[in-house]
Amino acid sequence: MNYIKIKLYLLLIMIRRVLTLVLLTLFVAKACFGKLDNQNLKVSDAKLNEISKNIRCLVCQNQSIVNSNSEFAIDIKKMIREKLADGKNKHEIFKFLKSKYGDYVLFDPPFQSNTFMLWILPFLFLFLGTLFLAKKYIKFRKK
Amino acid sequence: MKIKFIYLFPFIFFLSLLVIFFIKFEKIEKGESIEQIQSPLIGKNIPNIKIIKFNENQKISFSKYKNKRFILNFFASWCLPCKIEAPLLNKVSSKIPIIGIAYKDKEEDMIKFLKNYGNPFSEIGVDQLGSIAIEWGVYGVPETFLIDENGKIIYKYAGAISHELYKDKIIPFINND
Amino acid sequence: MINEFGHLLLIFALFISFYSIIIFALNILNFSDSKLLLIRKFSNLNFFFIFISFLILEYAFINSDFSLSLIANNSHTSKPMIYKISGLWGNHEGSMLLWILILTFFTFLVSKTKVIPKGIFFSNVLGIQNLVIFSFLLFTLFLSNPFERTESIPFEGKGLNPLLQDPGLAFHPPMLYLGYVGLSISFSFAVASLITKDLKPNWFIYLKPWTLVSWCFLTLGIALGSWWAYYELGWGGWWFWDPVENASLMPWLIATALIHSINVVEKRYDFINWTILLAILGFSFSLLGTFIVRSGLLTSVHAFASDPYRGIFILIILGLSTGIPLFIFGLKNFKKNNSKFFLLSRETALLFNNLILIVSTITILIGTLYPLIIELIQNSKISVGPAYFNATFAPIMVPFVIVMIIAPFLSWQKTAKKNLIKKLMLLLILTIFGTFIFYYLKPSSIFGLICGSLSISLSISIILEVFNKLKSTKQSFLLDIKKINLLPKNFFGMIIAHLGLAVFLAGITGEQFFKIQFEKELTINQKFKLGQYEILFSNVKEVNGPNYVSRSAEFDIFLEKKIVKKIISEKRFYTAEKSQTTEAGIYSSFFKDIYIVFGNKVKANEWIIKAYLNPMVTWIWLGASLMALGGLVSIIGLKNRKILKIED
Repeated sequence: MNYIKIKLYLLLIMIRRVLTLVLLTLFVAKACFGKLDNQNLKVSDAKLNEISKNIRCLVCQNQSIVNSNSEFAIDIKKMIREKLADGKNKHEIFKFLKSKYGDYVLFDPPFQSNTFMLWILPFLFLFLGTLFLAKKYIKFRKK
Repeated sequence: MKIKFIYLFPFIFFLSLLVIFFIKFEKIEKGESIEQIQSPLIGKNIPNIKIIKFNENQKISFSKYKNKRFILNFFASWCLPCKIEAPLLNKVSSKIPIIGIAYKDKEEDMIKFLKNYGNPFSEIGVDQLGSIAIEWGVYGVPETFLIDENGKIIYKYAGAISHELYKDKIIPFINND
Repeated sequence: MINEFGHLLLIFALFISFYSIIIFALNILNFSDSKLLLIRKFSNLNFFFIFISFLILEYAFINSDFSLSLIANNSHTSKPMIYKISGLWGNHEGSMLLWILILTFFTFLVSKTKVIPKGIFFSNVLGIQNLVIFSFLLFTLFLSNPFERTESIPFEGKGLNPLLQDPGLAFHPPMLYLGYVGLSISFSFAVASLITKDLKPNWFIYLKPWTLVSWCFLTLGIALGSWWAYYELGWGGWWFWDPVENASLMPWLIATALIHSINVVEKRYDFINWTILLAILGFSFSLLGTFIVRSGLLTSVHAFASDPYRGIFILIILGLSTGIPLFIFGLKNFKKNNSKFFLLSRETALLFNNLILIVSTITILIGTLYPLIIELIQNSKISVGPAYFNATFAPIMVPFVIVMIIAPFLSWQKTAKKNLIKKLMLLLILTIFGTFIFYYLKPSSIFGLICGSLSISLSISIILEVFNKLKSTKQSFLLDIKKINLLPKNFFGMIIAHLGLAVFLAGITGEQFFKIQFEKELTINQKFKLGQYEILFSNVKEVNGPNYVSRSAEFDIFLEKKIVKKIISEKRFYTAEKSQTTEAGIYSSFFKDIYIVFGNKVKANEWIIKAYLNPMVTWIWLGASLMALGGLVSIIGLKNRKILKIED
């Protein structure tokens, strides 16, 4: 009997702790994030930034046109806005810029033949590394 | 003494890195390193966009240059390297027609610039907003294009043209090599 | 005159380190105590010489002595004093001298230490250190001499880059260099262990304090750089995966792996080969970082003016100092590993996470160097931008954090499955709870949910671990502050550092996935909404600063109709330098930042105003500081550590 009582008591304590944790988390979370209002963003502004983030400012050192106030950046942003208004999508705009300025103007390396290695290698290394460790472990277990 | 290959892997990986760096340095030393961005327009026809001539209400007619080689140069009065390349450009203009595109320039300033530094251009187009530059893959001034008799862009150079460029690329181009 | 003396001291130091290397070689052939003593004395002397030389250069900076071309090019009489002082390392040559100063200082500390037995190992360590010092002195004297004279003394210096005149930026390089150079000590110990015959098996105990110290400084240095970029550059971001930023992150990741690897060595005398390899790689990546910044190999906003000869020299230093140890490592006939651990053990967790840290480092390396490789193979240029690193580094780190969360519940060598499942159950329930609540806040994407969930889970795991530890040491549950002192400090160091990571993740989650942006052309007296805040663009005026003219835009921030803060964003025109910077206006609070950037004029009375609401940004800096604090606590805890007695 006593044993059950102790178990119940411990369970109660645990529930109480969990509830306190939950309330604390809610309180902290509300203070952190509050009510978010994403509605004031114009759709095209967000789209413009999303696209511009990936375009390199060719007259700057390693910056995107989002962060640059150079003439080039402003002109390209204007052009992107016009193309967006024309109904073009992200890929068409990237394709256009690539056709004029080359791969270099895009910050994010595309999936093409010469970037295959780039994308594959990290996961390849992870796979090989895990394989190597697994082999060692299997060898150890065999003993 | 058994040499486990796996222990040598870091060394081999590192060695390949060194090789890469050394190759790059050799390229820099030989002056082959491309600070120039390869233009994807090379080998392609000139962009289709129409360019309005300066002080005239008509566009530049590229058909005039069918079967003839010519050069196209983006310039501006506010651009310092343009002033630096002006004498060389003047020299080139005596051998081959050069079309000049005034990039984001004020009329009076451009006229003054051409008066002070000479006018090497057979005709001048205007790109007030920079939209023509974008179609030509231009991101600054000066930029110079070599266009062959079939209307294809053979070569593009960003920056003030130098004597080496003149010798190595422009003269052979003019002489149809 | 005194500058010549400073130059002379560098030359003396070069010779001293050269003699030390000779003695090191002689000691290998035939060891003697007197030779060891000589190397130690030389190391002390070397530090003294470099220190004086450094002071002389600093004195020249303070007095704006333009007879030195370094100062003529990089300083200016109107610079505030603190920036004259920190200007010494704001350029290539001066930063090399700082590097050498720290290098000789740490070598001095090592040579003065009393805990290393006076044998061949000690001599080897100092010898290798002196090899590094010699190479850097050679490089500095011939290709980067800070004491170079100008042909004619100018009246005024040229160096007034406003971007560099900033407290955050002043301390960022010294912090980083302390980190990089500290790794050279671990490197020397590791390489010495490869070449010393009859090595004492507990040589590795010297690795920990040096690695911890480097790691702390690297953490602080990187965080300082990011913090500076955030508030100074006006782009609202703090990390751009720029090659030079990557160059500092890679040694940090290796150092983190190294610390944990050393822990395994100390606890269970395992992973020793791994540890040696990591110690070598730590310093190699530090050198690689130096190389990338100074060689003109890659374009970056950070890079110093490049000179190919410098690049080649550093490449040679890098090649020899990394290549030779790695080659020796490859050929070394290591004793058979006595690894006796099962899948569910702390060793496995640490090994797996070490693997991930190395893979992530290689990933960053590949991403940073890939444009170079493509340029060499295909002769075309491509860019590898943030999206690549976000798509590769982030997913690889997810299992890393998961293992971090589970690892505290695993025992060394073998874990009882029943116990583990019970403990994990509790963790899982709390995590699901936390994630559910978090989901209700609507992060902007599934990745935000994952990131936030990991942060919550990690925090819960750490808290549970602390509870468990307190219970197992039979302390009272109501924490008696005095009793905390009885607990092992390195345990708390680890807890604080890991908690720092959780806080850091929370910061990233907020900043990346709950960010609100606004951009529009506004006239004065227009209002806009940013989250729950209303912001009024109240005024634009011209203000004269000490060496600039600023166009200041004033913003009033309202929360529920009451004004909370006025902030100012400026465009500054520095008259002497003829350059312009944008200063963002930031209202920073614990849970969120409001970040406003005053942009270009578009019409007569309209300017582009960009505003960001960045939740939890402060937690990013807080998290990094906690990590460094955890490292510091661990260092303090080293005083009373019990060192595992190894039976040979």
